[in-house]
Amino acid sequence: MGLLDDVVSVPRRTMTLFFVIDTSGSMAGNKIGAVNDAVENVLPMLDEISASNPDAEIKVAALEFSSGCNWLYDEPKLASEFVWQDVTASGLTSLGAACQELNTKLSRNGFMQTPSGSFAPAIILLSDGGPTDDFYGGLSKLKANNWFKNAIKIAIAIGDDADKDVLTQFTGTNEAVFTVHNIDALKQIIQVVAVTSSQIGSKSSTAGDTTKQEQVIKDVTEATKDINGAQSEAAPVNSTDNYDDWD
Amino acid sequence: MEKLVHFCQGESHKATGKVCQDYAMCSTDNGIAVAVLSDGHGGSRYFRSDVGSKTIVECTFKKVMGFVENIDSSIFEGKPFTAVSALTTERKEENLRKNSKVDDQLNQLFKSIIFGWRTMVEQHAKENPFTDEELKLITDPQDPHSIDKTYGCTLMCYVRTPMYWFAFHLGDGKCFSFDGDGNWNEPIPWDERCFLNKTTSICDTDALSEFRYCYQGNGDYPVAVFLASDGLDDSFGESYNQANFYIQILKLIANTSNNDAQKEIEDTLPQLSKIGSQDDMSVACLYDEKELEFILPKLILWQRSNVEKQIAAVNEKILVAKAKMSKYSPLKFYTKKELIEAQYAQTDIERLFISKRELVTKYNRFTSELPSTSSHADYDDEIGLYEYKEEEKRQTLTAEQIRKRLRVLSHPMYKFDI
Repeated sequence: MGLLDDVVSVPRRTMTLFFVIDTSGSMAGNKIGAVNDAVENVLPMLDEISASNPDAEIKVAALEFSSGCNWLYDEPKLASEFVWQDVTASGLTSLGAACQELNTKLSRNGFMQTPSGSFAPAIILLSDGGPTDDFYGGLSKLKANNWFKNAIKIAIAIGDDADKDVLTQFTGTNEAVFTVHNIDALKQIIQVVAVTSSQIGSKSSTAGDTTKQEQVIKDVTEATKDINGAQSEAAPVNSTDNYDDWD
Repeated sequence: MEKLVHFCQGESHKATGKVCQDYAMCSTDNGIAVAVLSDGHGGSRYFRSDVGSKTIVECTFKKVMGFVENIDSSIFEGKPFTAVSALTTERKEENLRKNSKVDDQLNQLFKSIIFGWRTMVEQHAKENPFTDEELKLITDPQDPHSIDKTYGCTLMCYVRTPMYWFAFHLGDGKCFSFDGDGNWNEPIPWDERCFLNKTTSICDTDALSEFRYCYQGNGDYPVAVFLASDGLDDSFGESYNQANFYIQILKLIANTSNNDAQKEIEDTLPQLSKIGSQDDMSVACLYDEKELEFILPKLILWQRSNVEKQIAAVNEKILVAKAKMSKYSPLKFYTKKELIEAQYAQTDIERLFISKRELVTKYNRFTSELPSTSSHADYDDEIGLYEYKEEEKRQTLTAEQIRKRLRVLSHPMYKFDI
């Protein structure tokens, strides 16, 4: 009799990647189309990262918020099994409600397993405007959440109208806020952020004592230099590409 | 009392050429049983944590033996099981609990361990000065504890004497205890500050306030106690999976011998690291060999009832997935979103039945291990082990029908529907 007989099959650790997507009316048209396209295309890449990673498997969850908020599925799904359902844009920007909902699911009664056997989640927030509800009320609860405190948090500001102060409050630093000014940049940055967060977030060893969020920020900041129309909020670059063009 | 102890390099440490930073020891000499275990921190600033963990284990063993020899054991007499949390801000504010003599003495022991460890690692640093490369890794040279930090590690200890027992813990990892009724628990309170890869540490400035502990002096003793570093609990996730692993060890001891179990642990921990957490692994166990055979059937019953609970949870999910599927008639039209949901429900049902069949096999195996006085009926329930009845197949969309419809709806001409 071996010691691992009758023991539950030892699972790989789990890292959950959250997409928190603004689907308010101002996102309608090319912006929401680009988000749908980019997320759908990045899922196979996340599956590859998960499949080739001995440390952890990657699960994906997606929350859309407009006049209220809604999870695409009622549990995180393996990247290999996540079928993207295109989201549509209309209504207001209930980011406060989204924060509250995220707080509810960032718990063992929600989407998370026991901390033993888990990696901190990665949360990618995409928004093109400012909240129309009680954002700070929602955020204050979320900020007390241990999973959120330890999460990799990256925000993508879609255009100049995005409230970057709010996104900075969400991520905890303006270094984690990346602004995009056109459709191609939006698609590319979603891919870069999702892939980088998954690669770093699902590894058990970190380089030195820098946090995983710091590592993701460093890599994404470097990558934005090669994306026309994308910039880090902490190190904005003056360029003719950095004006909004969403047509 | 008998002992089992082993520590080994983790899979990720092998890959990066890092030494094993765990250390553990057990002693059962002179009627005093002691198990001590430590996990050195993995961050690059803790570059001497392998020395730190070995030092804290040796230092703690020495201090504990001194404590047991010199303490007036009557202070433990009649004490029921008592567990004390780490001194968090909340506990300082509440200040609800008055220290007993036992608390005072244990706190003295903890102080002497911290002082002893700091003295030993500072001596080590003097004898082995930091290299230029190592100095670059010290992030806060002004910190008076910057030397100690390079040796940072956790600490866990269990002590059993003829009059009383106690256990203490600082940092992550888990301590499990099995009692005479075959129940298991984690007797030392958890510290919520240990979360994901963050842990409290012997190198923290306020390490004394981070000790948490438990003790008992009324004659009740655990039958077995396991200490393990977080490499183990990160491999099992839920605590009941780890308890199940320990029961496998106890069964192995009872069915073979201590030596065989020791060898099996030495073979298994590296495998577990490879398929589990990838981290260093350490485990230290003390057990009462006389009591073990009496609790064995109870442990198997627990294993079986644990599997039964899992089957019940799977059954609930099967019913939910079946209810979802029953809404999908082959005669109706569905949107792509609805079909995706149906596909998930269909996949869930297939997967859940596979899982259920595996669990039922385990249930039946545990049943066969029970003494002849117990019920030996194989597992059975109303839901059964198979997916669909013919009638259900006719009434709901099949997996193939869902796939076909999704292919049609994915055609560009249906894009408006998505």
